[in-house]
Amino acid sequence: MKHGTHHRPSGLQLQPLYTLTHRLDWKGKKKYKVAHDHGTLGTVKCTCHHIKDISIPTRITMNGVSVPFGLVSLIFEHLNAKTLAECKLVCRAFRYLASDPFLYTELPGWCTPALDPDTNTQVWRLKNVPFPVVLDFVVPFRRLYKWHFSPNIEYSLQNMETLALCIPRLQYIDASLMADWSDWQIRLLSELWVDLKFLRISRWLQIDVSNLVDLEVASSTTEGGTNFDLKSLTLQRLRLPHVENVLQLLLDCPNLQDLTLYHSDLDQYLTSDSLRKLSVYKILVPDALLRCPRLNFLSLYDMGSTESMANSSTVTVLNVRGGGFFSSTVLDKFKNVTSLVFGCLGCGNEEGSLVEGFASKTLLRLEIMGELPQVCHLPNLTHLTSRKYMLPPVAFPALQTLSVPDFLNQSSVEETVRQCPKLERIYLQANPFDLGLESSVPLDREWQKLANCNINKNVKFVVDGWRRGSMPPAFDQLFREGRAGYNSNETR
Amino acid sequence: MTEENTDTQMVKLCSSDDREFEVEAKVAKMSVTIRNMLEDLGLDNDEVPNIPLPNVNSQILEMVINYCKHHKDDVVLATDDETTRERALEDIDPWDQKFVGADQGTLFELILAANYLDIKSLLDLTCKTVANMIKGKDAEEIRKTFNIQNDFTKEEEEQVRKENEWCEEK
Repeated sequence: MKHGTHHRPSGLQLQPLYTLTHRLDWKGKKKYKVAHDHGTLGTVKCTCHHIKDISIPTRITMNGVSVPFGLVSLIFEHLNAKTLAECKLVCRAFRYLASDPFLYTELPGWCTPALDPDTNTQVWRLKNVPFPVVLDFVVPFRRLYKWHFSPNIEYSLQNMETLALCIPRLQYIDASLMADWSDWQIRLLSELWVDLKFLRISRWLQIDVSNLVDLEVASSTTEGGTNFDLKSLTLQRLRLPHVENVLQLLLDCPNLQDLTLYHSDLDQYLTSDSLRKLSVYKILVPDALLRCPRLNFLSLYDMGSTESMANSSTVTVLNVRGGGFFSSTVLDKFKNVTSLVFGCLGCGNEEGSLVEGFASKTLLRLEIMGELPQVCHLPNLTHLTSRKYMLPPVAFPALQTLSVPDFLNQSSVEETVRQCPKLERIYLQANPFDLGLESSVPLDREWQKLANCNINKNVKFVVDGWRRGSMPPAFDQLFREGRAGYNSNETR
Repeated sequence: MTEENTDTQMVKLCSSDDREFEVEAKVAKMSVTIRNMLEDLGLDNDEVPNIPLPNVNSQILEMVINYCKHHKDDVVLATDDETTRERALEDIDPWDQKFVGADQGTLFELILAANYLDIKSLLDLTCKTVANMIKGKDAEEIRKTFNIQNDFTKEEEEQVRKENEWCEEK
């Protein structure tokens, strides 16, 4: 059975002679054959058929209805790699079906698939697979649209061309780790993959950006210093190191919605009708944002002094990554902020803390690295993420979800629930960096105490980052009662 | 006969439990299977053709007909499924959402019916709905949701976990 033929993207003079076929062998297993005009590249065993048991039924009963495998595959087509991985753990039939490479539009990071010599099954490893072996692996993944280039592999012209023929429909390419690439290699990307929309590269050089939607340049060593000559009607998201001509950039990219300037201070008045998100190091001019009527997400590394702190009435999400103290006067300059993130991981000893008496009626979400003040007034706050173990004895009348680093003891849980009558979920974060402890599975008796807390049974405990099934029996008991759960990346 | 006439003509659909449903040909023809049957029969002006559908019971057939009636005037959009895949999961039309909000047993019977009757939009909708039910759940929750037995041995399960390690890395 001929499954598909790949044509070279237009713009290349080479002959389109690469074909991919697969046939079913006597056990009904797919075998892929890769061929081009120089002969067969090799036969690729389809990875989904590592299950030795050929007596797998071709139908599976779901909710009492017997569903043929083909229809389950149709359902799986709507799932991403992560969800498919979870599906593999459900039952043999799901494992078999979810392993079909055809379902995958992206491979994880710079991981590469490899055969585990012990079990002779496919595993994914952070490992560099050289050409042409890598081709053998990617060929069955015909719907790949995302690709990460990994270093230490020789990307010759021929290798890159062949790769483009194997996975011609890439829209997202991450080559940010390829610091040693020559100019021609970077330029080749948009020539080989004509559908390219998202591109991450290690350094800037003049490339064709006319079709790109999203561009990130990782390093600040650039061809033309810190002036970027970038003109695009399609670009919506741009992440760059130092830039001097930011005003010109906004003029040249009139549809830009999201701009990140690493390490750059903003010392100009921006003008843009399209800009919604902005990340800069520090803003030096108080009124810099007033001519960006749509800006509602602002991310800063440093607040600067309160005198020079910019003001804006459109920003609703404020993210300050540096440390220090955050006072209500700063928030007064952003009248409509509903969500505030203050402080970040890896910012050294500078923890962002709120000053005593901090008050805001607009704030709905707060994520804070440092201390919460003993006195604060946040009557409408619904979501609080605190990186500190202790919560102050303050009432949060509207709070629905609370995220804390690690295990709470019984009395503090009871106290917290009493202070927050609307509380529904308590997230327990993994890796409490602050305590200087290795993340460990909380002890069974601690969970036992939690289970016995005299609190509203609707409050659910959600653990983050712990492997499913690795929790102690008392947790499992709560899990079965629907009072505890694993965090599966749902939005908090 | 012109296309318009054939569309307003009535056809009878007969379910597996012998209930008959009279619907406009335009509605019935949203099913490629029925459309082909009608073409094979060769439509006659005087007679209301009777289409037996032995794979679909009356409860499901009624739902399918309701769906087709609601969507009979839809314009079919050609979408690039690669780019819209994950995104499209979020935007299910409210009427459709209510329609598939029925119990899960019905949902799978709808999938089977949509597949048998070859109604692409309904098959898409139902598959998306199930996919949404899978998303964000762990294996145990998925088993619970769909009442699936875990038939792995301990070793097999460990092996799958090993295969999945890359997902947790990211």
